[in-house]
Amino acid sequence: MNKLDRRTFLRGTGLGVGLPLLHAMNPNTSVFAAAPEPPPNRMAFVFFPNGAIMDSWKPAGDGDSYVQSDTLKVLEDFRSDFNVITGLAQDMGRAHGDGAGDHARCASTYLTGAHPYKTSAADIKVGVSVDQAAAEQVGSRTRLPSLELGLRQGRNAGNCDSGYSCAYSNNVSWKTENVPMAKEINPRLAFERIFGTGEKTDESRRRRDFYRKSVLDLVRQDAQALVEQLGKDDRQKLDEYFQSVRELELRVQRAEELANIERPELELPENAPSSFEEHMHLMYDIIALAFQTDSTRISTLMLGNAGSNRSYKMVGVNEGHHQLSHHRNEKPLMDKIRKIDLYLAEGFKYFLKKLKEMPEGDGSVLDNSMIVYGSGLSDANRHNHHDLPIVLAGSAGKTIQTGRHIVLSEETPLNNLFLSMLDRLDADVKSIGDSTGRLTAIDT
Amino acid sequence: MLGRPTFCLLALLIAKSLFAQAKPVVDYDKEVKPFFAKYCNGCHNADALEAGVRTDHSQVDDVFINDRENWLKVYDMLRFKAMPPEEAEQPEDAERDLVAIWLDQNLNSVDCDKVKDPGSVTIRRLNRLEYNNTIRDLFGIQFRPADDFPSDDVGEGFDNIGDVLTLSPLLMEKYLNAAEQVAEQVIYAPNDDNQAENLIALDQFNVNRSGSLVDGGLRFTSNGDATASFEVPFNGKYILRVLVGADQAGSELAKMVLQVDQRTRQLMSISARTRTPRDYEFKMQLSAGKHAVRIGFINDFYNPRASDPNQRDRNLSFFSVKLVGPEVVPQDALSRLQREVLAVRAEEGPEATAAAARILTPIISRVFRRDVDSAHVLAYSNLVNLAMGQGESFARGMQVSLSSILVSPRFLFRVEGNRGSQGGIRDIDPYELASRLSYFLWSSTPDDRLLSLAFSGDLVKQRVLESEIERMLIDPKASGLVEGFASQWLNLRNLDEVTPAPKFDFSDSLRESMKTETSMFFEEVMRRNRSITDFLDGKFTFVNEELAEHYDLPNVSGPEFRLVSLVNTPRYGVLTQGSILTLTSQPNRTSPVIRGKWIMENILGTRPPDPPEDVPEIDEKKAESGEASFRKQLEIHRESPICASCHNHMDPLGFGFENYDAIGRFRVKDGQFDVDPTGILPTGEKFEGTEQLVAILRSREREFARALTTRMLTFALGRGLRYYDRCAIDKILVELERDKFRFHSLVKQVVFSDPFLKRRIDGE
Repeated sequence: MNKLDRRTFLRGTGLGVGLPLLHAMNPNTSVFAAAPEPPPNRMAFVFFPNGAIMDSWKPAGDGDSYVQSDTLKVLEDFRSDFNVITGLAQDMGRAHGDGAGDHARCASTYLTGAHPYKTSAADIKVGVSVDQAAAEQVGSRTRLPSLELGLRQGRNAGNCDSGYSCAYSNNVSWKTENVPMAKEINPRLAFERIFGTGEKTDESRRRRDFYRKSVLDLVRQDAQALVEQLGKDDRQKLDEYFQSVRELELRVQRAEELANIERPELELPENAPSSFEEHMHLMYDIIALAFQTDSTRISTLMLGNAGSNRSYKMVGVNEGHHQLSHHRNEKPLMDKIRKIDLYLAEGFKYFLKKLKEMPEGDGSVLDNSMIVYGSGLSDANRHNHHDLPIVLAGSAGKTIQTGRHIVLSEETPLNNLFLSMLDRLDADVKSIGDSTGRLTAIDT
Repeated sequence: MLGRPTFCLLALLIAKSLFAQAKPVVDYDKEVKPFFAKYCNGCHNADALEAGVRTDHSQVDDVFINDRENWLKVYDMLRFKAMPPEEAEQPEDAERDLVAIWLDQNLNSVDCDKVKDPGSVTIRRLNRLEYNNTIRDLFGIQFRPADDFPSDDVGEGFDNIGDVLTLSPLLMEKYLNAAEQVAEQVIYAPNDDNQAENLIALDQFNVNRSGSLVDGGLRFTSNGDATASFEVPFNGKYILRVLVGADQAGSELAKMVLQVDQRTRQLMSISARTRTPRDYEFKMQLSAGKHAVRIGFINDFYNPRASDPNQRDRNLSFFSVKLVGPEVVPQDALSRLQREVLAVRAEEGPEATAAAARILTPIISRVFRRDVDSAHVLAYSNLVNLAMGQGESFARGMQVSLSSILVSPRFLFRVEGNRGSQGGIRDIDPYELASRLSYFLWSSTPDDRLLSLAFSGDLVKQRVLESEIERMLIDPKASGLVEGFASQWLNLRNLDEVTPAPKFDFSDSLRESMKTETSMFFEEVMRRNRSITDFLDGKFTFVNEELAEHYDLPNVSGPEFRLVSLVNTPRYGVLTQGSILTLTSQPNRTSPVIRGKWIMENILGTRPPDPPEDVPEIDEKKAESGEASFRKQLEIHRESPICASCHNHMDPLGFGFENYDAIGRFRVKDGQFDVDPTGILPTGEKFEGTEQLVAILRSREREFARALTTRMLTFALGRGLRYYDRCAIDKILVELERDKFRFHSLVKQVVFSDPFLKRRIDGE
């Protein structure tokens, strides 16, 4: 891949140099005011639950002269910026002897390609997700290694799906095979995590970080003393504590090295908005701003939790989404789902537009991103984990040829796409889930 | 196909057999081994090992302990008739039953004389409810930081299970933010002039007219104003200090108005320039609490024809707004801790550390919920020097110390040490017991009384324990048991997620009322020590006017909730409360299947097994739409024996509640069809309506008692239950029944049980 050469120097120079140096030279201004170096690539993964009506999702024909599908027609204005990919699968989402639970598996395999251990309580285990695999390698280059967002916390009473813990349904991002990355659902809080509350001056923020370093150091030592007294299972839990403390310490360190980013303007309500549309738009806004300011290069957004039974009254659908998805091939029910599919695709268009309107280098932030918009299920009535609905937007610095309908052979692992994406972030990852290699079909 | 007993019937038969005193002894060599050889070993042997399962053991003494997971799978597959696969030879039902009984005996029954395992709980972090309550009870502040925490992981039906709760970096960050905010609220740290200075951030301002954020300031290019609200900690004299600059033009200076609440405005002429702003001060008297400040520009000027281009346009910008004060802190407004901290005059260094340690020792002890050693206290106290070294006050240093205490693992986790030899059993020590008790009954930290009883060691005495339980159940903090246990046992939290269709006119206030009703009902049974059977058929509830209207109950007016009788109404216990009926429905209609499943899980304690992998398509021709009543349509779905085996259990239970619509209103018609609330349970019992079904459920009070005990013990321990806990449950049930199933007995027996008072020591 020829474009990789342009980035090699970034990898070679290591942490704290290269792009961060640019910040230090231009304090308090937008990062790319005078950027001679190529902008970095970003990756984002948007998840929608309960699959889609595939005959309305799938375009006709292939290559760049394909005929757009009904559902994706709303994205036509941005046709040259994305690829529709057909033929991808997450085989590990299938039961493989574990019986029911396709929704829990839909979400938990979407970005991991790993088969989740069926339990409703302890010993939760799946695999590291692509975004966290990337964050592990290159997350330290930005203020925030990664950003996990959602619109609903998710059910957390009782069983979530046929014997699977709710953790599987409510998360697509997994830091380790046992620990999901909790998502933020309040837009204001997500914004403040990245850009600060604005209540503090730079000076007081610096001082707070100074104190935090010592506080974290002290409690980490205390935890080390504590661990001596504990049994094996307890130690594993304390491990999560250690890892999280360490993560925070790194973040404080990074905040010191990187110059301050000017807080963008965004009108934010106190609590999570009650309007789905407003909520969804705000989250897209925040990811876009985070990318634009290089606060992070890795993000995930769950538009709903797996098996979500939300109704979409704004498009005249009063039944629950999950309830409808068991449509038994009845047209009236399928039509209602088509409305939901269309509505969510329109939301995605909002995101594309936002990213496209942010100039960067000789293009836009969208040009330097890779956004996956899709689900871990295709036909939710049959609970199919193959032939997945996947749109890949952005060209990652013109290393992806966009504007096409790419038709792959059936059962191509979605994880192959992820490996290709990880390459473009300079993340050195050999395999993920059941990947069998790169997805060279997307290359220029 | 017809006449075969279904799996679920089998489960009930097995359950009944376990209740009976005599247990059939099934011989492995004679009856089970040949069964496996004939039907299973072909695929499930040591070589082929299909799906990782083997059934070809020559002897089985250890396999149930070592390989429990796999045997549970075998049990499930067998009784559900998912195995042998359809195409293979099928065993006779009698053969299948026998092997299932054998499996159940080995997996679930236990010899309580031999096995005395109290289990081991993995270290539990505080969940959101516990964190909020703990902060409330430790410091007496109403601040609820955990409302912004991500949701807790749920397992075994509860959000307090040690093994299940994870700690992600996001959560750690929130803990740290919360700790700092709590410390700021708890300890008052004024600056050098003994005045606190608080910034009101620019983006807190709502612009009313023509202002916008430009170049780090809020700028008005024409007459306009913006408002923000702010908190005042104490009554007193304050200064609002505004950093302001203006573009000057015309004959007068730019004029700024500042108004707090509805009171007199203060007017200032601003001579400072936009590029060189200055502080302008507005003095005022303010009371503690929330106030609003409005800042405006009132004399816009624009003359495009002025000869000097810099004299054409008058604008105003303000860059920061600080609240400074109070001038004197009223001593009675400060807490004892705050006064103590402000009274300290110590030099940076060991003197400050010692002063901090003196003040922090009782606090740390309460925060860590046990005795603490001085080395520990010193380590946390030493942090005051960090702040003082930066030129800040001792009070500020105390804030830093306190914030670190609040992110210590000893606070965030409930620690139960692993002292002793591996595999051994030890008693829970008094402090650990205090925490177990308070988090069980209050979802909060132990109070001073519990901690003193722990300190003296008296807490472990049965008599003391009993009286403490009674005290705790009367205490207002027992609402923690309602919010923590009841809301999860009954799945009440799901009520927040339901979205009934618009035709039902389901308002948020109705939703809240429903939650309140069920919570108050549980609280009544809890506080008045009523029989737990009231949950099944208690003829009383709590309603306000809105809910009374919903239920067609007469003579209730006003928004307050009050106790009403349900005699002569078609309502019973919790089963017909709006909350339960709504959360077990789809948005646009009732769902007998979901209702039946809810009852099986939460009332009878028999979770229906998962649906099989490939749910077969419903024959489209047979599904009549709109011609048959909803119930008729559901019955068509149960024609396939695979589906019927479980739906024969769930559906009738749900049908018995069809007289209540998707939001719990009583009805006799569903659209154009009459409601048919009759049914036959797989046991053969028939019922003609809700009343009779409830009576049948009431007759199964022992099953219900076991179900509730199991759930409560799970919640109290914070771990899933294992086969060896059966002994404890059986013991609890004997005592509970002796006391006529009254609530306090249930709680006491749970606390007195071995799993609660002891623990097994974990491996290294």
